[in-house]
Formats: sequence, structure tokens, C-alpha cells
Amino acid sequence: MIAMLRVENVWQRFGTLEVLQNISFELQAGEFVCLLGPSGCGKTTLLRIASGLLKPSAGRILFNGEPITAPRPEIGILFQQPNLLPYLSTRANIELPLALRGVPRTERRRVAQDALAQVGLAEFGEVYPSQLSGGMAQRAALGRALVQNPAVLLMDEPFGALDAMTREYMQLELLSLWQRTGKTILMVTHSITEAVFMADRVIVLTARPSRLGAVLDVPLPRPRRLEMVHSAEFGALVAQLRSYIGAPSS
Amino acid sequence: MAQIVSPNTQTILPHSLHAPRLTLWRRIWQRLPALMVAIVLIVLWHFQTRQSASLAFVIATPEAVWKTFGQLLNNGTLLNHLGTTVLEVTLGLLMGVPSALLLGYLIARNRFAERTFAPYVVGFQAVPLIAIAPILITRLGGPGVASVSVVAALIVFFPMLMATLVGIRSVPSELHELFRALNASRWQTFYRLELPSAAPSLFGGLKVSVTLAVVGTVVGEGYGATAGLGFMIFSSRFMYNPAGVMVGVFTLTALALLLYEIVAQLERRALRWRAPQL
Repeated sequence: MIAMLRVENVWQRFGTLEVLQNISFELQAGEFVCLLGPSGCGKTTLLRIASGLLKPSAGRILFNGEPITAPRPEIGILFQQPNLLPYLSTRANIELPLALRGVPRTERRRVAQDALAQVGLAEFGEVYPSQLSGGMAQRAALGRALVQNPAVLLMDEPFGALDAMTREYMQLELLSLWQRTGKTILMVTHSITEAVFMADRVIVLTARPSRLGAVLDVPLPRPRRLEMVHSAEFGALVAQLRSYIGAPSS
Repeated sequence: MAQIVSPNTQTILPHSLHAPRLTLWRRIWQRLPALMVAIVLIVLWHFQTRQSASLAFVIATPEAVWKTFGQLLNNGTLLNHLGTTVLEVTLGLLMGVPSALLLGYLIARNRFAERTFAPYVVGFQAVPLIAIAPILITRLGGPGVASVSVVAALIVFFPMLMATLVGIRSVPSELHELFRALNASRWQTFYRLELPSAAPSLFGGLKVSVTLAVVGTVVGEGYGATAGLGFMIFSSRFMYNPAGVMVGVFTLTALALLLYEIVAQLERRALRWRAPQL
């Protein structure tokens, strides 16, 4: 079986700065994988390569066996900031990827309404982004990533800028969306508990220059519930990841 | 498909997108302080001219200005000159604004263009226009609508170029990255990202430009023109007719205010997304 996303010996350097050293791993279809590592270790760089925004210095990333050389609609990306256009309504923001591809207006409307409902913003289509809360704005960004119906979703610390409570909601919402849609998700995070709570598998990168530090399977049952955070099994997984990273962390 | 429900989506209702329309009475009420200032200034002016009767050939009384205004309006002189000035302002803006937009965009997006043109643009701004206007006017077929329009266009050029530069450069790099990730073409990036993002700055530049274009025509008409409000001011001064000068000045002021208001209305319409903060 061909992996949905296959990272093959990826190296990245910017001038004399080595960021990624020989990274290789695979994502199977429908998997939820978290990429964990200290800040500045090149997680975002790896995600930018996977999205086709950046060409690696060496190596390649394959989508369904095809090398990724440019951004493609089957691979959606969600940034740390919502990056909504302030002069467009939430609906128009969500329609943007379709509008750029020349999808007709009525079709766009239909798909966008569906995406708005999926992220719980059905009544907020006509509102401008400045009137959305942080969590709602990030959900709108998620809606925008969904309208192209990507098979793979790349997420760059999507909840990093949110407060703790909103973050928990968003984590649960994302998990339920993932289970309904069966998308393959690669999520960058620097929170160990978030990685354990969300992922089937956690890939640990070392500090820069980053190499693959460890890979940990998370055998916790699905659907995940907030109480699981307090279980002994959860604690053991967190402790194990912390020992891989080597430094005390949140 | 199932919908995600979380508490905060149920309790917060969307705000209205449009600010409530003001009634006519409220609009007048809001303008009242500005009108009061005008009345105070006219009263001060009135007493100033009474005290210096010996300077009657330099300063006109408000009453004399009003009378001259009526005369010039009735015999068609004022509208004639106003027409010429409006034409020159319009042509000046039509030449100056698009060329500033074009060169500004080029300099903002292209390092090579910046290195090549930026020093000349800045250097040219330091050249006093009154020093080179005579050269320009003789090169452009002598005094007339064409050459005066070019002077107005030159005055408009720099502020509009700067507004374009600031506006285009203010687009956050994350949004450029988003458009790259969505495979947007260069043209799509321009009209769906750069243009609307730069709009607030462009409207600021346009507001400065329309008022400066009016000043530009006066400068241009100072070199042998035979029509236009600037010409009217210069010839009235030459004939020791201070009332005529003031009529010209007030008409120019009114024209500038009108143009400014037109731009402000367009801005309000185009930047409706900013309305909630107003």
C-alpha cells in the first residue's frame, strides 16, 4: 500500500544554517500524526515543504507516490494564525480557495455553507473577521482549508494562539471532524499533552539541526475524551515523550 | 453532516454590518461646530478690514467679496474660470494618479525597479516646482490647459506614489504565503489581496492628491495662462482687486472640499468592512 504522505530523506539548510537533517517518515491514509519538537527546531519548515511552499535542499516528499513540487488542492494547510482577509466576510473568506480556482458562484455558495456548518459558524457567514473571536476565526480558517476537500490536512500549531479553554474545545472539535471525514492529518505542536491527546502516532524532532528523535504510538482508545488526560496510561506516555525531548516542558 | 456545537456559537449573535443611517437633522447638528468656526472667522475678518481701511487695495471686506462673487457669478466669468480649473484638475489627476499607482506598485514589488527609480523620485520631489514650471510649460506648447494639467499631475505624483508604496508593502507576508499556498495567479494576488489591502492607504493618498491637484493648477496658471481660477487670482491681484482674489481663493477652497468629500464618500463605500470600528 502506498503511503498517503511519505517524507524521504529531507534535508533543509538556509545558507549555513542546518535546519533539517535526513528526515524520513510516512503517514497512512486516515492517520492523525503529531510532529513534536522544541521551538525553532524546523517543524514549520517541514510543513512548508510538505505543502509545496518550500523546496527542500535535498530529499523529497511524496503525496500518493507523487513528488510534491507546488501547492496542490489535495493538501490543505492551516497556519498558526487564522490569516483571514479582513475585507471579506467570513463566507467570502471560506470561499476564497474556490474563487481562486474559478468555481462558479452557486457551487461556491453551497460548498461554503456546508463548510461553515461543519465548523459551527453557520450563522456567521456575513460577519467580518474583526467581529469573530480568536477561536471562531481559527475555525473559519479550518473551514477555508476544508472547502477544497483535501485528503491531507497540514496544521502548524493551529491552536497555539488560543486560550486554554478554547483550545480544549478546538481539540475535541478537530478530533470529531477528523473521525467524520477520515482525513489524514499532520499536526505540528510543541505541547506534549496535546500531541498525546490528539495523535495516533507522535513523531519527535530533536533541537536544531533537527533529526528524527523518536516515534511513539499512542494506543489510547478513540474517541478521546478530556478525562483521559488524568489516566495513568496518558501520564506514562507524556513522561516517555518528555524523556525523548530531554528537557522539562509543559 | 453533523454540526459542531460549542457554547459560544449559540450565545453570541452576529452584529449588524451597517452603521445606522444618520437623519438629516443629525447631520446638520454634527456640522454645526465647523459652521461656528466659519462664522467666528468671518466676524474676525470683518473687524480686521474695518481697522485697516488704508489697506483697502490689499484686503477686501467680507461684504465686498460677497458683492464681487455675485458679479463674477452673474457675468459668467467665475464659472468660466472654474470650468477651466476643473478640467485641469481632472486631467492632472487622470495623469498623475495612475502613473503613480503603476510606478509605486513596481517599486514596491521589484527590487531592481526600486534601485533604479527610487532616487530620482525622491530627488525630483526636492526640486521646487516653481523653478521648473516655466521650462515644462514652454516645452508643452506654452501656457494652456495641457501644460497646467501636467504641473498638477507632477504635484499629485509623489504623495500618491508614497501611498501606493506604503499600501502595497503593508500586506502581511503570511497573507502572501496563503495566496501562494492556494496557487493564486499574480493577477489574482493583485486584485484579491494587494489592492484591497492597500485600499485604506490608497484612499489616504487620493485625499491628499485631490487637494494638491487644485494647488497645482494655481502654480501652473502662474506662468502666462489666460484662464482658470489661478489666473483669476493673479490678474485680480495685478489690478489691485482684493475682492476678486478672495473670490478665487474661496472657490478653489470649495472645489478642494468637494473633491475631498467625493473621495471620502467613495472610501466609505469601498471600506465598509471597517465600518464596525467607526
